[in-house]
Amino acid sequence: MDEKRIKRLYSEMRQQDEAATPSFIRLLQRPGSGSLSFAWSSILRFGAVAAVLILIFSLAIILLRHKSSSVVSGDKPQKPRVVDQSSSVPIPSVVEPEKPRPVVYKPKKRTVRKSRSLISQWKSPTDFLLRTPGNELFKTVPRLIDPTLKFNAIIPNEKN
Amino acid sequence: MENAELKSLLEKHHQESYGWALSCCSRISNDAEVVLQSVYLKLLQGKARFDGDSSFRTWLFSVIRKTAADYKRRAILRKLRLVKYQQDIERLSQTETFDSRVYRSELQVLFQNALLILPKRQREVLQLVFYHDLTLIEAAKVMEVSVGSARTHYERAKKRIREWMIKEKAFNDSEFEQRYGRKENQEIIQRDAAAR
Repeated sequence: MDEKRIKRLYSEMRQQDEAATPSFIRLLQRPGSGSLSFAWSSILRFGAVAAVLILIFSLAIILLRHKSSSVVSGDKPQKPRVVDQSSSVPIPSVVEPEKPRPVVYKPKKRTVRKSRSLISQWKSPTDFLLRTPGNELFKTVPRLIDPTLKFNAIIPNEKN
Repeated sequence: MENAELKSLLEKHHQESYGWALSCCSRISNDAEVVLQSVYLKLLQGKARFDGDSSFRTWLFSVIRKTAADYKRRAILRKLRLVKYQQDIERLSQTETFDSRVYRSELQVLFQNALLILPKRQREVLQLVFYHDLTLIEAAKVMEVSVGSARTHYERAKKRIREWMIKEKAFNDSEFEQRYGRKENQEIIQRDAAAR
């Protein structure tokens, strides 16, 4: 029974759809035929915009870096002026605030030689904690005084 | 298959194709037209070819289904386009007028809304079986699922529609008789038999 009812509803729907169906020719000649191919064009458009933005951004970064490096090389830090106290000119009470110094980026020089020597000379900073009193005894060979004289008396020779 | 032959076949199945495209596009007529047009162009340009594995109608329906799915997938990009405004205007111009809405039966509107709530597969299988008179095997081919899976979707869909009918009190027998009088009833039955 349910199937029959569903079938009826679908039949009614079908009749309505058939009445509203555009003709085959009209549908084929409908404007905007490439409507499904728009995705590629839009993807390309977005890609081009993204590429241009990335280019501008990277150029801006490069320019900024270049500018900051030129500023650092041009400005030398000024030495503080020594005020002559014996002079009669009164010293202003308000001290002018120091101008912020530009941050200088200096790449660390790392040479192979230096690093090698550093490694060979390296010592643990807590090495002294391991030193105990009398530690030298374990590191050196004890010296005997006149060993030959004493031993000659003990060692049997041809005369004995 | 030659272009002229293909064109005549497409024209023959045009009404059914439009109905199926409407179903695949959530019953938005503008979208259905766009999808169907691109399907026709795709076929006539030889981008998709009928290999004869199944009936032409089944194959055509599966092409429409895939194209509609593709169209929906690209909806996000479409929304980003600047011509969205223009599309909205077009769509508004093609929406139903008040008269046509009145003409449509209230029950039909309710039924179509109930169908839209159904999961996609269930909606598809109901449409293919009841609207296009396909068998479950053919419906499974169009939907690219196994016959068992199609049958499960079919049963579940029927159950849900039945529940909807009870909830909405869509049909009691007297109302059913009133709506579909004997004469009209017989006409529908005859038309269904002819379609088979």
